[in-house]
Amino acid sequence: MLLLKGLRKSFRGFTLYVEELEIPDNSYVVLLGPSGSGKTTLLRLIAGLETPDAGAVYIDGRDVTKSPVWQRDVGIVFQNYALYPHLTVFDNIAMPLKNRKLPKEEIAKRVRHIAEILGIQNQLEKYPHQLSGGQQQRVALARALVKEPRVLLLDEPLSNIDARLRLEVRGFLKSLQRRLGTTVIHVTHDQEEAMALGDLLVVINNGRIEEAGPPSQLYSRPRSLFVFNFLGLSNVLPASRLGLGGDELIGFRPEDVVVGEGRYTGKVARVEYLGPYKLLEIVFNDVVIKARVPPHLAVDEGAVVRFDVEKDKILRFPS
Amino acid sequence: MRDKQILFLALPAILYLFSFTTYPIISNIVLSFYERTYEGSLKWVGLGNYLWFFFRDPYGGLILWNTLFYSLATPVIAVTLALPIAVALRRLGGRWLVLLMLPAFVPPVTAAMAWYLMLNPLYGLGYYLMQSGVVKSNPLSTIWTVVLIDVWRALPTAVLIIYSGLRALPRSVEEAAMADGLVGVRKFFAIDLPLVSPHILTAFVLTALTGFFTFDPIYIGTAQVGPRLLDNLAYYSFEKFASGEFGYAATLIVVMTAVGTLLSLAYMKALSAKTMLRLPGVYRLPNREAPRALHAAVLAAALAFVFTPLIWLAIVSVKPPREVINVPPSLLPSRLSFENYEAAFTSGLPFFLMSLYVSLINTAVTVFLAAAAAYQMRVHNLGGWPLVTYILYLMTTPTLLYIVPLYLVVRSLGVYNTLWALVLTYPVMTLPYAIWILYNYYSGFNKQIEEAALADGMTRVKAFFKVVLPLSRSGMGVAGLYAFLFSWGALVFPLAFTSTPYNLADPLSFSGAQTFSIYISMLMSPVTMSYGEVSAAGVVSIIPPLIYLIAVRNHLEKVWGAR
Ligand SMILES: Nc1ncnc2c1ncn2[C@@H]1O[C@H](COP(=O)(O)OP(=O)(O)O)[C@@H](O)[C@H]1O
Ligand SMILES: [Mg+2]
Repeated sequence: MLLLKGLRKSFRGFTLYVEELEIPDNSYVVLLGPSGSGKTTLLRLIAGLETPDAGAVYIDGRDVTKSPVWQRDVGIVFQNYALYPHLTVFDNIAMPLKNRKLPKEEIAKRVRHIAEILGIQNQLEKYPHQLSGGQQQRVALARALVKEPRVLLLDEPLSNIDARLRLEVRGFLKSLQRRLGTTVIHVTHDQEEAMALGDLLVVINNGRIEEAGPPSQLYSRPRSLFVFNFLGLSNVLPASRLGLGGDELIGFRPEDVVVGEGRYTGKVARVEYLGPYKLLEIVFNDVVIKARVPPHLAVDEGAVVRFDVEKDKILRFPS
Repeated sequence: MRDKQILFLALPAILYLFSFTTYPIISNIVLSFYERTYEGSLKWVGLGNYLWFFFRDPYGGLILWNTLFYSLATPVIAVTLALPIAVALRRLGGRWLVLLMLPAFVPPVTAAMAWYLMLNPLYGLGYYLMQSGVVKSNPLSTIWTVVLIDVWRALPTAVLIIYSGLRALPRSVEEAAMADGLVGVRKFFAIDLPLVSPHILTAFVLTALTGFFTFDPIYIGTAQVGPRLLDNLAYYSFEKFASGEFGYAATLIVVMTAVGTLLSLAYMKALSAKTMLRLPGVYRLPNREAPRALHAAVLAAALAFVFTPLIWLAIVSVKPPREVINVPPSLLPSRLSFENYEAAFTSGLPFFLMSLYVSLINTAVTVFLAAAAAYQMRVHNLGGWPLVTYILYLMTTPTLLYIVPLYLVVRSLGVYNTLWALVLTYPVMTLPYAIWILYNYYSGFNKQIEEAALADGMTRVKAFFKVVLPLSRSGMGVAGLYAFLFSWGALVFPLAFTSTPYNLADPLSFSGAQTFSIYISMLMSPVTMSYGEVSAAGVVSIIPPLIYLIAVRNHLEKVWGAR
């Protein structure tokens, strides 16, 4: 189990503060937040590549705050992979083991084993520049995993992958984690990627953790307006606009809007055809409401439609 | 579409370079098949000059041996010293770098003179070296002294290249090494050293070029210890040129050009080298940081090496003239005396003025022509890689190669021994370097700035002057620094193209054009024994480049940061 307590790190004009964050074993954790929110900084604090100004990091109850990276039992995959260009794939993967002076046969066995898991057993004699980006990433993963770390840290691992391959690599990462049973902490700014992968989602904004929880909970029952907005398309408006009581803000997803019948009448300002569904923008009471409708529903821009919002899906946020 | 105006801007520099370098290279080859007879006419001798040099010349063996020695000892020692210094700099902070760079800004003649002055076995620290038995024979008469001076001059370049290589190591690779548990000494040999090995190779080849073309230390040293002892190809060919044996001089120069070209090609290969060294057995090395004190000691030793000759020079320069030639020499002056400076200013003034004129004119001309050419080469890809390669080639080979044909040109134009001879020829020495600096500088330049100016209705020429040039100030400042430095410290060209001091009785004739470097080397002659005066002149010779350096120091990072 990984535990962060009172962790603080300040740069000029930026402070990261984590009051408490507990990361259970054997889970796929995604750190999600907009760019510049402090995700990389948090990851580097866990890795030991940055020293915190205050607070502590515990791995399995052991305080590792003062320990250097290599004593922390973490594996790191850097955003640009950071392979050693002068070494073969085999020697790249073997580096952490050789450094511990394990016996030669033991090293070869473990390198082969992890290379097989990652599907790069045929590339072991090549140099990094002879590999594709995806293969380089697997080498970087192998190097991080060969020492069997408690925690594997991935900083935006899909950002340098070809868009076509991204889904495939995403699936691979998740199944790899399931197979090896390590804890993975995966940083991304892509909410779709985050929801697809995470057992636990940690949403971070401007140096603070907004909310942590399973993706489904954060998507449909977030406590924070930021999380609600960040995790998908959303409608946010004062409750009074829909004639609902209270002076709070209300929020609901476009798919929670029913079009064709209901209490409200509005004018369709825009129709976007998106394949599996259509997105409408309905002007009602001086606000724009996004609604998701089946693709075959015939509505034209300028049409006047009736609609309603599913009551039990409406979230309330203090304004 | 090739725009005529692009060509127009680049043409002056390119035409100049081609005519002033290609013609001499070809002319040398032609001349090398001739011999100048006593009557002064040229006689065809076929390969005779070459056969004479390699098989008959009584000095041939010595010259080849010395040349080889300088070309190997200099890079080996300079790189071996530069590596730990660069590592220490990285650990202790780059602010010390600027102090270590100092030798690069001291005119080569002054550097050689300061070392010979310091090692002098009667009037310099050499006296104490011999007394204490550290040195057994006269330190002036050994070729090691020439190497020592070469190393002193080459060290800044080597340190700079290796240090910037170390700084350019990707941070993430360093962190990956950290995550893999590699620290300190072991990490250095397992990761850092292999990754900077292309830089080390570059430094090696570049300092080998310095060693191969060594001239100034031999010129000064020969005056101290007599002829032929220290000679290498470069110096020997100059001697042959000076004694009028143009054919033989050209032959030696052709041999040098061939070797220099090979070294220069090796340099270009090193610049783009990807292969990295791998060291066996690194896992047996200690996995911890070397103590900070060790780094500090390395840096302190390096600074002592750099500053000792300069400090000695300054001390001698303020000794009362009579005390300069006391044996044993005093370590500190008995009183502060400026008589040496007075003497140097009186007799040195014409030389000083001439150097200043030609340096300022040439710097302005060089920077302007270089900017106009480099911009078109980089941004509009004018000339492509062949032109870039040619510039790089010219940059790594010295101007000594062109003296014979250019001397004949200068003679036939009737400008021998005037300021104009120097103004005409100095760009050969400074243009390639300036173009190269600006060519790299413009790689980070936003092309759209020029395009926006064109869209506003300016012509390309106007856009270049109104928009590009004003934005190139830092690149031009640094290119100008080197142009000034080379012009100010030049020795070979003024030796070849002038014969008397600037005639102050008729200042506007600008004739008589010996420079301050020549003045310093003349004072070093053991006949004049003007060691006090020469040390004062040496100190003075360092000041103009330093003023320039201080003026542009903020822009240097941009050029020094590059490989
Ligand atoms: N080493 C550093 N020095 C100064 N500022 C830094 C440093 N690292 C990160 N920052 C700043 O901290 C903030 C968060 O950065 P980062 O953790 O990289 O965000 P993210 O990974 O979420 O995009 C940014 O404003 C960044 O400029
Ligand atoms: Mg980041």
